[in-house]
Parts: sequence; structure tokens; C-alpha cells
Amino acid sequence: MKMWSLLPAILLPALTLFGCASPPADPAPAPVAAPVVSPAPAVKPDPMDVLKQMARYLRSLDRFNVRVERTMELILPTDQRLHADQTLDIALQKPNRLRVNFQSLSGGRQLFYDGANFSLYTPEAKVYASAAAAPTIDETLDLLAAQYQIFLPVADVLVADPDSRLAQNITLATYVGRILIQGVPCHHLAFRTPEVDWQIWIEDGAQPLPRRLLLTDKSVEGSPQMMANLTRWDLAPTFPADFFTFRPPQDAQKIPFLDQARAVRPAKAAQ
Amino acid sequence: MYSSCWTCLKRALTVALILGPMLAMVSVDVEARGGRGGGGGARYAGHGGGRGGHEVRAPRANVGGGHDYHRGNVNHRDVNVNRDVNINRNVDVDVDRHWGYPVGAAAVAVGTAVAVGAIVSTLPSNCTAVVVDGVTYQSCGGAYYAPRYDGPNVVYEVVPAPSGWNQ
Repeated sequence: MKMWSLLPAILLPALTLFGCASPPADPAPAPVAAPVVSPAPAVKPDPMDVLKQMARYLRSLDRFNVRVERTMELILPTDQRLHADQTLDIALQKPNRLRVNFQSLSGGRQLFYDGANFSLYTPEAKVYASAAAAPTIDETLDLLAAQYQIFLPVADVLVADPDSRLAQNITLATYVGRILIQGVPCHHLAFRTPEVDWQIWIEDGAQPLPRRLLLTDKSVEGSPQMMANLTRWDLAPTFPADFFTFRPPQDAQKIPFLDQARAVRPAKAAQ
Repeated sequence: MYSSCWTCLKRALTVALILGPMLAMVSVDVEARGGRGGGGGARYAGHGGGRGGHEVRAPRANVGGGHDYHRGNVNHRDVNVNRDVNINRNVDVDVDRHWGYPVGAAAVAVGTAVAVGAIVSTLPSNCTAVVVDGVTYQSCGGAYYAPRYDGPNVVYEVVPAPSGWNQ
């Protein structure tokens, strides 16, 4: 009984507040920009088509700069989850030049690939390592991952043929819809593979660039996620002549990788 | 009222009976490993990937292709000893100084004897640089540390006293 009598008392001021009952306010001091309306496509796009269109477009680029802002979820033994952030600036020139600046508050590190060798440089510790690389970016990324445990986030989209890495083992492909990612209209796609559920946001327009990648790693207990925003795309950068070649600073020391060092030591001890 | 509390007590006792031995087992595991090397610490002893392991779990960095290239060395990492936590892959974490961060090699406690082969991500204090045959070692409290790359991260491995030094 009491509640019913109170209802108008609650509703009336609420209606007034949301402007239903009041006349339009005085004119705005600054003109409001017309809202951007991007009309929805008449036919729902096929997710595999959108993905392959992006791959084709990335294949067509011979050089670019992109920033990757990655957030990785770590699950502690206590099941507490922490996020680890990382910012990387990637410069790439096909078929065999790559430079990655892993930023951090302690100076970060840099990865160079000049077509013949790769180098890893950590300015804070004043150390670097160099080793022979493979003839192409793709093979070098594989080499770095398999032999040196250096993983480049979103490497899949950097390779010559992104299709070959992305479009495999897909058991379910979904076109979710369109949405703004950092102000850019994007297609939102979702895929499932036996080990990974992943989503990608691809720019809707003349430049179908990947703008965000999110994956849920089902092969790891607790299914941690990795999300990477791809920002600051520059499709026409000019690189200085020796931009991809590492020249060690005078005070930098060349050090081995752990596995190499361990492989060498017994031999030394035997001498 | 009385009977429900009695049920509570019985439940608590049952839980204690189950949990007690489990906790004891965990602490034994930690102790058994604590004496080993410089890092010591708890490392999951069971089969990889099991629940409740002392490992930090991280996702892969890539969707990946058919040839599983980003997974090749996961188990390889598991056999590395002398870490405070066992990571299910070589996690690339750019945290400033790793204060309280559970990822990375162990720090060596002051006054702890360190075994050759131990890996640390942070050097003890009061180290002096020693150059032998063009290689810079850090001499800290009688142990020698050599910088290495472990994946993309710089770590320090405890090495035998470099030959040529102190001879």
C-alpha cells in the first residue's frame, strides 16, 4: 500500500530529470559535431572473408611501423590473476628487416634483424647477444621462438602470409558485428580452435588493418588471456639506411644465451 | 541450535583432518627443495600442468599456426631448476625491478651459499665487476655471476671462479 503511494513521488522527479517533461535547454555554447554514422552492411560479412581480406592487405604492405600494447594475464599458484603490460614498437620491411623496441621503465630492450643476423640488446645491463638469423622474417620469428624462446606478440600478423598462421584449425568462426576500437570502426570476429579462443578487430574500410587481438589460451589451466592493441600504424615509414643493423655500443658486452653457456661449460671444464 | 553447532564442529574437524596432511606435504616439498642451489623455493613436483602447482601460468603470445612453433620449448623450461617459481613458458615480463613480482629467477638471500648453475634475475648487493679474458663477471660474496640471456631476459648464472683469476 505504502509503496504504491510513493511511486509517483519517485517517478515524477525522475522524469523531469531525464528531460521528458522539460522543454529543450538554451542553445549549446559550442556546436556539437554531427555524430559519425557508419551504415551497417546490408549483408552480414563472412568472418573468414574479412580475416582473409586483412591477410591479403597485410601481405600487400612492404613496410610499416606499428605499436603493440599488450596485456598478458598471469595466473599465480594461488589462482590470483595479475596483468603484465608491455609496449612494443615494431618496424618491419619485407622480406628480411625487422626491428622491435620493447619499452620498459628500466630501458627496455631492442631486437634487430638485418637479414643475416639478429641481435638482442639490453641497454640497462649493457649486454647484447647476436646470432645468425634465417633469410626471411617468417623463418627468423620461428627461429627466435623455437631456439631462443623469444616470442614476439602478434607475430602472426607480421609474417608474409598471415593466413597461414591465423586461418588454421578453426572450428568455429563468428562475425560478431561492428564496433569502434579507439575511435576506428572495426569488424569484430571471433574464432575457436581446439587450444585457443580468439577474437580480432579489423578496421572496416579501405585499410583493413588489425586493431586488436585477444586470445584465451585454453591449453593453459585457468585459460589466461592475452590482449594486444595495435596502434600507431604507419604504412609509409622511411627507415634510415642502417636502421635494422645493430652496432653495439663501446661499453656493451656480448653475452651468450643460457643454453649455449651451459652447453659450452662442460667442454671448458674438461680442458 | 546446539545440534547445528555440533555439525559445524564436526565439519571443521573433517576439513582439518583432510587439509592437515595436505599442508604438511606441501611444506615438506618446499623444504626438500629449499636446500638446493641458490634459488631454492617451491617448485611443483608433480606432472606438468596439474592443479595447484607452484607455477605461474601465462597465455601464449600468438594465435599460432599449424606447426606449433610457440609451444616447442614449454616442457624444456620445466626442467630448469633453481627458480622460485616454475613458469609454464618463458614469460616475457617487463616489470621494473621485479619487486614482489612472481615471475623471473629467484633472488639469492644474503648469506646463502650459492651453487654453480643457479640462476638469478637480480644480483646480490655489493658486487664488483671482474674482467677475465674480456668477459665481465660480477663477484658477489665469493660467488661469480655471469650475465646470460634467458629468452629475452637478462639473468645471472653462478659460474665457477673464472680461470685466470686468483691463480
